[in-house]
Amino acid sequence: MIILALETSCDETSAAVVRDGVVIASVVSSQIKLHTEYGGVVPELATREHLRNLMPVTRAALTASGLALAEMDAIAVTQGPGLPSALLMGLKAAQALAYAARKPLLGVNHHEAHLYSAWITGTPARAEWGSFAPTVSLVVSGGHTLLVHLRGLLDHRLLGSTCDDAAGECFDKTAKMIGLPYPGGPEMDRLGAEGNPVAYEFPRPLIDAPNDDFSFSGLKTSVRYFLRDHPGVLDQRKSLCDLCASVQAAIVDVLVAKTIRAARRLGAQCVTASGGVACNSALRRQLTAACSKNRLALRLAAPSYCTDNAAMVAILAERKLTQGAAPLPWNAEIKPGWEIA
Amino acid sequence: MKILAVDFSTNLRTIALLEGPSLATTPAPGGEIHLLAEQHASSPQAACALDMIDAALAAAKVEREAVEGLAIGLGPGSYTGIRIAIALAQGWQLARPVITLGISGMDCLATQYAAQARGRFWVALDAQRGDFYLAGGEATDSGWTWHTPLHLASGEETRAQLDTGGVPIGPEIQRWFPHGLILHPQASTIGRLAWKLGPMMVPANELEPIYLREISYAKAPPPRQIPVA
Repeated sequence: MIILALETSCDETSAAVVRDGVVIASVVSSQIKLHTEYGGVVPELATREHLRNLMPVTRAALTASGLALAEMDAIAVTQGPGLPSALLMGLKAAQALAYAARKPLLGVNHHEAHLYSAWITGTPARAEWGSFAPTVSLVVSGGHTLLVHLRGLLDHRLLGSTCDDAAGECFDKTAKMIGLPYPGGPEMDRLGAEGNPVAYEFPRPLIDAPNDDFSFSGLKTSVRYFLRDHPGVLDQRKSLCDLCASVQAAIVDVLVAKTIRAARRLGAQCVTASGGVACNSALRRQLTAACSKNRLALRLAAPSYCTDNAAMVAILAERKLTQGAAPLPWNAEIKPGWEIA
Repeated sequence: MKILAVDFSTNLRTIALLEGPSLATTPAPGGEIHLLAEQHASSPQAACALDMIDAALAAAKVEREAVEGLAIGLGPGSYTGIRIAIALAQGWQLARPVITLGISGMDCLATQYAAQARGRFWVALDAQRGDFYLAGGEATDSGWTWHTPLHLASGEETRAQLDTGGVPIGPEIQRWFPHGLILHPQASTIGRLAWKLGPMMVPANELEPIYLREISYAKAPPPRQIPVA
């Protein structure tokens, strides 16, 4: 089966072609530089960029695939969740494309695409569905923090999510308080690598709570108070790096502890991590150690599939169509608040 | 050739299918452009573009593959509606070798006014924040021309301009000027204008809504200089 997928849920315009579980073309146009000067994604600017980039990005993916549109079996698109105006550009273009080319169109949940992106591996990248085992998955990015139980392929249940800020949002907002450029998460990771993660004590919110939910807004506030009370910390490289390492450790400790605890409770054999924050080196290191200690297999999404991309959308769409998913009707609309089942 | 015209720039969303000579022969001789089908939705919520397009094609007994061009109303007006129309044109152009054209909603309204009246007129559209998208024109027996080009005008300026004489027109004009003439941009007019503007066709990825208001967002402070070790 050959799928062309489009993804425009936030600030990346992406198109990809997947054939029989293999990613044969993946093009991502990132808007990070555009949004950096504003310290975050500006939805209006993101929408304008999608409108400019969608056609060249899609054509580039088709060219790279060496296939013609006529050879596609279906079109897939991110239907939600995401920024409404950004989602709209991708969905409406995909609907018209599918309609004019007489192809079925499948709407994909962005979180669900991230959820299964941990199975995309190798060169060329392919979906390794054959090695699936019951799993607890951590899907973590600037917009969401989810813990999901996968009993089987496409048979999953949301265990918990964040009550307030997403983990990536906590990284970005604390980085902003420190004065690091957007996106702050990768900068925190880079500087934190030089620092001492136990130099400063920050709370680990909900780490012992008897549920699978997360909360990071209190941690963010405690960093604000810490900076108010210790303004000199930012003047020295060592103390600044220690601060980044300590904040990062607080976030990562919670993510890892709750993921492992859920996996053990549910008897899962495997843990996965995906989404933008899954690029964080401390999270990858700590999850690797914790899974090893608890004899759990670990699948970390490849960094190129952690950030938003259409390849994961195409991979999931192909799997869904194989299992009989129904195409979208022509009057389907975006689902900006679409929660994972 | 058959052109599908879309105007989603106001609450009244319209789609029209027209047939006329090849755009290579523009300007088209009069009377050779035929409206094959038209669809209206009275609100954005009721407007599903592809359902409307499908209904128009079915009514005209035309296959989607027979569409050779798309004419898109670029407003000014609802950014969301106009962008939906542009995204549709982009998707269609990715799938099929169609030409695309962007048509000003102001030109559309001037054409509709000139089809029913003569004399000075002002097109005034809601630009939010108390402002208007404003242009002034004159309709004559030979057509219409602009005497005041489209610009973003304050409410005060708009009222002052309208006091100089002329019929105010626009889709919501009676909200501010009760004696104004309500006119909505119609896709059928957008389509007819496509034949006039044929040589100005642009790739769909270069289409964008008519933006008149400069955007400005709060910029982040410059990042901290990280002390060296």
